[in-house]
Amino acid sequence: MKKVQLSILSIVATSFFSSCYYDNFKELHPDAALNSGACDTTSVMSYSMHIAPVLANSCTGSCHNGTGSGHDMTNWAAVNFDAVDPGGSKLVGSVVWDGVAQQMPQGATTKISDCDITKIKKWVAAGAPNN
Amino acid sequence: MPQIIKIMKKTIIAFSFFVCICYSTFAQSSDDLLNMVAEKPKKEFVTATFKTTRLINFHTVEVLSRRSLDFRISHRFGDFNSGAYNAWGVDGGANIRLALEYCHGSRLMFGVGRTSGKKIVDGFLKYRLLKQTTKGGGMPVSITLFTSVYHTFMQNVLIDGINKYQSIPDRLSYCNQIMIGRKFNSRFSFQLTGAMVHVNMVDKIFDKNDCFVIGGVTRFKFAKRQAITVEYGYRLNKYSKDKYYDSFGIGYDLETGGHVFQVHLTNSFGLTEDQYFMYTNTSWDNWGIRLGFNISRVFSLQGKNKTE
Repeated sequence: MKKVQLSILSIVATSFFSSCYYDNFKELHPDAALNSGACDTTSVMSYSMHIAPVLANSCTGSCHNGTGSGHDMTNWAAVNFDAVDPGGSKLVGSVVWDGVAQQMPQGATTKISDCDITKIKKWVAAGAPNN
Repeated sequence: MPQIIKIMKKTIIAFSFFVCICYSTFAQSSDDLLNMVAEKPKKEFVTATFKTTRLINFHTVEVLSRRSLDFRISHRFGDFNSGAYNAWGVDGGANIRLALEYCHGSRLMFGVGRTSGKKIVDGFLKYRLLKQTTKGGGMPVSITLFTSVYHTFMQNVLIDGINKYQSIPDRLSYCNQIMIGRKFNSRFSFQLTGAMVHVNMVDKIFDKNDCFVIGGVTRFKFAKRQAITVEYGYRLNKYSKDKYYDSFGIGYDLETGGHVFQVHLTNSFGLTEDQYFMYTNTSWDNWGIRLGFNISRVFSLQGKNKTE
């Protein structure tokens, strides 16, 4: 009987641990937050996945696209130039309406969403990387 | 001449002293041996450290007796703080687990259960490694090992439009426990539980897959068939940025000939280890507790004349 019990234990233990995973949904699907209105800023902010879509929605449509009136913000180097400034990020200042930088989006009566502001702030705080 | 007499005297005294010591030592050791033979304790195992295999939610060191089948119904109502309109939780949001558990020998038991919340099917093995013995038996505690697996059958769990469970391993969680319990006297029992819970798939980027818990479980029997029970599980590591709480419950056990009826208050809604250890999201502070009960009915499958 003891042998049977030990065999059962070892079979079960083997099958248990052979299917033990360390999966994280957000690591497997880093772009998941973009597919819905849910705001998730817990992950590391990525330029291509989080920041560029925000800029595409609010900035580069008619103005900041290289041909419009505003400074070009269609590529990382240009955005990084505005984002990283020892005197204070111009990009962050313009979207939080700090009174120093020009308020953006120009002519808007409200700021962009808090979720988008948080994403930009977090990305800038991380050094505005090209990730 | 007087010197010789002196030496002889000293020798005699020394010899008699030596003989006395030897005798007394021998007498003592033979007494000890006699005592050992006479009072050799009978090795008896302590029984009924706890009344059943579970206290409130937590497993106890107990396993079922030989060839017993246990049919268990566990039920948790909704939160007290849902208010009078919801009859303080009785109206809705119930979580129910039905389980069948069996022990063939006297140490290894297994069980399967189905929980309505999160549609979890679970299976477990529980092995009683050491049994506490009565005084002189040499084993002051009982030790039981526990391992389990949980499979959720939830469908269409979408996170940001993406199906959370894309393969079977994503749906699995595990729990391993070691339980060390002692029955101090006929009224009071205490158990320490060390648990590790592993969830294969977590939601958020800062979530961890493992949670370590140390728990305390106790029972105070105040009448022949009635007892007060308390359990508490302290989570040792930070595994999520979401707010979760330690599981804490107070209960009342009533034994009624063949059935054990347990009624309790607990802040855990989950009925499986992966849920109540890791994802208890209501607190005693704001009456995020609920009424719950367990009913256990044990059937003995052992023939009356069969002995082994």
